[in-house]
Amino acid sequence: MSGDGKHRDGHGATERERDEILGAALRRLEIPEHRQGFHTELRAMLATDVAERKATGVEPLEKPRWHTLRRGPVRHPLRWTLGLSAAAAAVLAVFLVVGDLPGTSPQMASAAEVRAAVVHAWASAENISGDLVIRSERVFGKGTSRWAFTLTSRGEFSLIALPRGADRAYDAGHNVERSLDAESNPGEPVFGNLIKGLAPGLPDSSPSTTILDRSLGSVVRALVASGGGTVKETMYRGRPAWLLGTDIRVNLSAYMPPDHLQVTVDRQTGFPVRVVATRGRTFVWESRIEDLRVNVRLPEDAFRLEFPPGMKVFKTDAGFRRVPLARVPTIVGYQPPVASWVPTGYRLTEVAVSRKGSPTGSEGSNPVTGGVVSLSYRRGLDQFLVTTRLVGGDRSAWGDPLATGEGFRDRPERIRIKGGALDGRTVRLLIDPLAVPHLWTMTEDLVVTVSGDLTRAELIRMASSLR
Amino acid sequence: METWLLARARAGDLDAFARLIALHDRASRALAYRLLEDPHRMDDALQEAYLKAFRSLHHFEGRSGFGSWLHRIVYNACIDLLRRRRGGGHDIALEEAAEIPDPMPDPGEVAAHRLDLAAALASLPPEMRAAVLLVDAEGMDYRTTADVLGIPIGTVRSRLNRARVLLRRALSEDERGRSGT
Repeated sequence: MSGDGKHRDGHGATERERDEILGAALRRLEIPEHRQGFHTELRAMLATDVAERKATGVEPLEKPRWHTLRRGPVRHPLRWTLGLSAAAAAVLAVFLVVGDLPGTSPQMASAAEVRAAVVHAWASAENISGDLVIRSERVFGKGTSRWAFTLTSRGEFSLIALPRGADRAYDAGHNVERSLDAESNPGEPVFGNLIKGLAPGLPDSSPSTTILDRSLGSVVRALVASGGGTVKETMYRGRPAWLLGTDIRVNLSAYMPPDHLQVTVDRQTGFPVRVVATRGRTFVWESRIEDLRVNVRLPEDAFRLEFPPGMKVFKTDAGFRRVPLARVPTIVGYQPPVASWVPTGYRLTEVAVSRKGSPTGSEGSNPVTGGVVSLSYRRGLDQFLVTTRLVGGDRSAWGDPLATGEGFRDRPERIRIKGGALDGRTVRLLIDPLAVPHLWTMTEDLVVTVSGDLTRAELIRMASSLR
Repeated sequence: METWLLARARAGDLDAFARLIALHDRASRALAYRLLEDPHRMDDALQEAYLKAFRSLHHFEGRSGFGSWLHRIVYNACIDLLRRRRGGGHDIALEEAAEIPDPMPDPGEVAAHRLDLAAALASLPPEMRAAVLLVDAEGMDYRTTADVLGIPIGTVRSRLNRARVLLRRALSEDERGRSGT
């Protein structure tokens, strides 16, 4: 390869022979296989790229095969905050799983198309609204509930109970949530609540997305945690849709957790519009969106809930303030670890601190130690958070800050983190049908959580990237 | 076969593209893993590289082999990742990078104290590692390697010579260690 190749070393080998020996030794070195899901992820990336090219008209490939997708102008990235975001991610993930099944290559293009449609929907919508209907036998109380809802890319939401009574709205611009409490008399609100200074998300006091999260967000996260499934084309309320059926892992719950979900995704918009949960073929609950509207013009005061004159209003300050990241150390007394890697499309959108802290964990049983930093990252509807807070004097008093509680029992996985600020630490990671995907651990001084719309692999990598 | 797959991939056929990169995936993994020394980073770099390759298929004119074209993209993705890992320094052209002294310790000193070929390889600067992997492990000629790495042939030769000396030393010490001499 170099020189004349004839020079011999002390063992009589020519330089060329020694190069070949070296080459053979190098070829014998171990090469890792790809991680599980590598090809699925890659395929999804490629499908998204194709869809985006077609949507934006940039360098289209020859004869693209994605002709069934609706295309519209791509707008600026979303900044939505509600649990519905998990719906997109989960539906998307499920379809990816379907696409990875052996022997299903004819479905792979279809799965990729579905993913591209969902991604496009979340990446181009500025708001979504409609009526949310929840029909339940046990989990949400027997009967049917209905809300008119609106979510926006700024993180605002409103939930107007139908009939009126227990309404709720979050004004992201002022970081204020207002609600009417109807106590036990729906239709007759008796007092109001105003909460300011909310954290951007869990595990701290944050905007109340429970209804939406339980009815849709947690469901689709369950889909993420599950695998396999079937995809069929169908019609839903006169519109073409995809119907996904999949088994999900059962939570160790005192309630009646479902073991199977059927999710309907609107093909025109890419939004999941109906979920039916069953247990052993027995109906458990259903949630659906009726009169879905995307990107409608919203009034200026859409998220300002007015209290009736004379109504008693209870006011609370949750204690969180938005600050520039650079100011955080001077407020809490330490430099918070920040993600040096985020999944594509995510960006840091909010930094909030609280000197006094807030209760966390199952039934709020963890110490309230203060020095809380909450970093919120968003990608369209998706959100994840990295939080830190001081451990305080009693390490043994700490449990999972994001414990689901309320009869649900968690089965966390223990994982040792390699790299970054958590190098060598063991984290407890929970991917469960009824919980927000998350992990948590303690360093010498801090309790650290990472939670939100991330896959297991992303959670681990995120934790490893904290610097 | 490769030509047919390339044509199909250019037409947007994802299956064809998957089969196309599968032809070169082992070599790509070898290069990426030895440069990045982490299987997760290897996968990240390869996903990024394969996506770039897919986006750039219509720019591929066939003047070089598809494999070497893909290797160049993989190599650049890995080097980008390494630069980001080293502290987010400013981007520099690959040609300039070859002239900048590497901050790593003298590889000779490191290699002399290690008996393991993989460890010795890891002790080399990434640019030197890439040269020896492409030429000696993958059997690429100097011209193609120079194209892949974006450097002159002379630079390939000098990197290769230095790398070989260090690796041979590690290899012989490794064998000596195994034979108990």
